[in-house]
Amino acid sequence: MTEERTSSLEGLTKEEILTKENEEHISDQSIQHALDGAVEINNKIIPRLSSDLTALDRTGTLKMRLGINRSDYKVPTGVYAIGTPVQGATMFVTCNYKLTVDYVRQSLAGQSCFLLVLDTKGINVWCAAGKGTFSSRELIYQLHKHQVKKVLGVRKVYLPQLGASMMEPHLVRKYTGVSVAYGPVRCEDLPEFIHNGFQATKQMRTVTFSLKERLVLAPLETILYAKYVVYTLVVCLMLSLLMTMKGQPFAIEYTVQGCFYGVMALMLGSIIFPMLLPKLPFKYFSHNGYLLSTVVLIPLMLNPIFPSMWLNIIFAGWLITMIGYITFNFTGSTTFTSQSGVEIEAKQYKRFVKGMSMIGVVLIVMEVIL
Amino acid sequence: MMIYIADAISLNVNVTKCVGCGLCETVCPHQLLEVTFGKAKIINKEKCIECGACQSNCPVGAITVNAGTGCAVAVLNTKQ
Repeated sequence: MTEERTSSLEGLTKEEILTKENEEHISDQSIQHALDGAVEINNKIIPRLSSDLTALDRTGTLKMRLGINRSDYKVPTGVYAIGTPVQGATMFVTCNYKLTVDYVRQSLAGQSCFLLVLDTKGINVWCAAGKGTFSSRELIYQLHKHQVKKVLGVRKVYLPQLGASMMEPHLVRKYTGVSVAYGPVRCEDLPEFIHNGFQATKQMRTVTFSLKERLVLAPLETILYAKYVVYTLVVCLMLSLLMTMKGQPFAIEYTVQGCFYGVMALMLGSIIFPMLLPKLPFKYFSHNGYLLSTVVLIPLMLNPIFPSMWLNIIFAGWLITMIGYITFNFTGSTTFTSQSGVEIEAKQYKRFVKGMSMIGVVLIVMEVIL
Repeated sequence: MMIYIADAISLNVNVTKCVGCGLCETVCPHQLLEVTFGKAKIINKEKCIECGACQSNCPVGAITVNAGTGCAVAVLNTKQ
């Protein structure tokens, strides 16, 4: 049984809720080119965001997907105008991840509304909601700081549905007087949502995980896990050294061939696995990874790279464990895995790694002795 | 939509507390809660991803779930 839940604001005074210590100063470097004048409402100047994406945004998106300067991709928090909103205009809320802000402002083309950007440390809405930065507390803080109700006359804000995980609408209303409503999951549905009189259809409210959605992450995953090819190189060098210890000449070609297998394993885990995911037979991600590893293990066993059988088996074990790890980690990128499920799989994966390590040690000892 | 390991899904609705506001139905990203006859009901438990949206949005604390990100790195890095 789960414990009785308490409010995220329990134990805090109103003053503590409405203030923030050490608020980060965020440079407007990433969004400066998109600022397009300002609107004035009750003597408050609101910067306006253009709905047009430029070449600068597109190259920025590409860099993000490839993992270049990923940490420096935040948008300053606060209220922005889209079009020419007047007092009491609709307000949408989003995170301060530049890519999301780009998608949202593009989806709101032709509208006159406000956009409130919360401080999510440059993380997208769903991940930020999971980590607790896209939360009631942050929303209350920003609504209060920018006097959204008093100065801008906004009584209701629309949040992306995936920002709901840490949101307590009853508390937001209690502290700010502003109501919370939810929009669609995907910002591309915003125009239709608005057209429908701010009603999200069932389809707009349901998360998907299409081939495109799975593959958009592949380049970054491949780059993040590229270090495992380097680890593969280290494993191969160690195995080659074992052979030299036994008096055989050191052969660099084993390492080169091993790295080729390492690259294949990386591609299998970070590209082929997400592509085939719906067609793979097992619920456990790592089990599907072990299944996919046969694609590298069969050629490895048919065409061994090391002269000793034991060394080939150790190397095969390394590759299986590596593919299992990369595929298991994909749970963090999906839209259908649960915490309790990941905990179950984690226990099993840990046992697998322990078992493989023990077999590895035994085989190394056998290789040295025999 | 694919279904993951659902052996230990922790989602629970306390029907006595439920006021039937329907917010859980609105925020659930997999549409597995439904309000019928003024009470929330779980219709597809195995689809639950334990995101916690229903729990935090519930104004009366009628829903409990062991919410988390469901991310392997986070779980593997947690010492048990």
